[in-house]
Amino acid sequence: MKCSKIQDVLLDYVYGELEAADAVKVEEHVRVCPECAGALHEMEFTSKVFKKAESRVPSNGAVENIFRAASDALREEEPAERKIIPLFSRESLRPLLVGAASVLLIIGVVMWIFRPPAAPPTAATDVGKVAVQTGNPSTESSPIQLVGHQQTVVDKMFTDAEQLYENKSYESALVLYVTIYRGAPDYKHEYIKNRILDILDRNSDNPKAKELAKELRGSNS
Amino acid sequence: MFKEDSDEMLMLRYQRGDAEAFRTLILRHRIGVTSFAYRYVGDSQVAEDVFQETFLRLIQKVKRYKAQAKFTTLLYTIARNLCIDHLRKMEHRKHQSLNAGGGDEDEETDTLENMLPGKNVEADRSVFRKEIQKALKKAIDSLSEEQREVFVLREYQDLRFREIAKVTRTTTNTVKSRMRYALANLRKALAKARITEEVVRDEVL
Repeated sequence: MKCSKIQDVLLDYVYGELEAADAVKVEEHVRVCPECAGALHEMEFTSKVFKKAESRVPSNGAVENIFRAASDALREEEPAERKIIPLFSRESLRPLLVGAASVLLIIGVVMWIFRPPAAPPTAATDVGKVAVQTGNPSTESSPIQLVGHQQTVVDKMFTDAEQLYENKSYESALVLYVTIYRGAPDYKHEYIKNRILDILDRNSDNPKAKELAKELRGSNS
Repeated sequence: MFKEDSDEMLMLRYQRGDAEAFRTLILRHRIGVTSFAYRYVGDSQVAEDVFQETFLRLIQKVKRYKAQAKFTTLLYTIARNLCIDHLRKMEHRKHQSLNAGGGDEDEETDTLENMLPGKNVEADRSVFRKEIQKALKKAIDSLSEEQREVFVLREYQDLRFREIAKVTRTTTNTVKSRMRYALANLRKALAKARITEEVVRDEVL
């Protein structure tokens, strides 16, 4: 191998990422080439010295805190929750939301969810099913008292919505916020309303979003 | 595909409700993550916070975890993002208030033991060792952020170049190039601090 070729793979050699056959070639080369041997030596020396730099050990308190959180997280998980949660995972929402159609779809969903309670429930979307699961189909317009696992489902939705929001996946977040807003009106009502308004305002160049925001602001809870 | 006690297996066991598996993961990576953060941000307290937060976020992600990606890639991606967040916040604060008095918080005051006059060779060695450690830290701190993260992940966390590329969202070639620069800069720093081969040979760091 030529020197230039050797220099290219020297780094991989030092850190053991070179295939055995190539490593042998490097070793043969540096035995007869002082220049490459020098370069190799410099790298190895630097690596060896810095390997000895101090490490840091966290306190036992920190370790225990994490462990407690890990155990708590397991306890919170109810079997009932599992069936419903995948609907909210980002992976399952994403295909629904890609492309230019997504905005229209969301507006449609928002409008469906915001429709007057008397209107017949015709639009059977996934989100619709979710809303039904969260609430109670027969008394859809009356406020719903959340019990047991329903509460954790809403919590979960809320966490997912927040995460989507944080990741700037506003449209996906909007679906979840609206579903909670509508299905569980007692749940962080003002906060969620503000989130919805925030997202709608971000899309205020869309006349429908603007209109909805106005409507929502008007309907003071 | 995975060994019984591999990180990935432990993560899957935790996913299925085995809290002890997660404890093993914490214990296995506690020094790695804390040291990584320490070298990244240069502050012990922040490093411990990053360590905690990294694992707390991991807990949140566990349900969606699929053992396709290497566990350490995920782990250090989270830790790295937290370090970056911290540095950005600090930068922001620095801009806001310019009354930053005093330099490195982390230049620990010597312990009583070390401040005693050198009665014996051991004590001298200890002081000397401390000096070298200080020089090493200073050298790592002086790298650019891009070079530092690559260097630390390869040298101490033992991630492969292509894994580092994933963590830092760049190409393997870029990673290698940064690593070469990092090593060259660190080599210069060693020379400047007069840490020669003789010094290293005589010293058990």
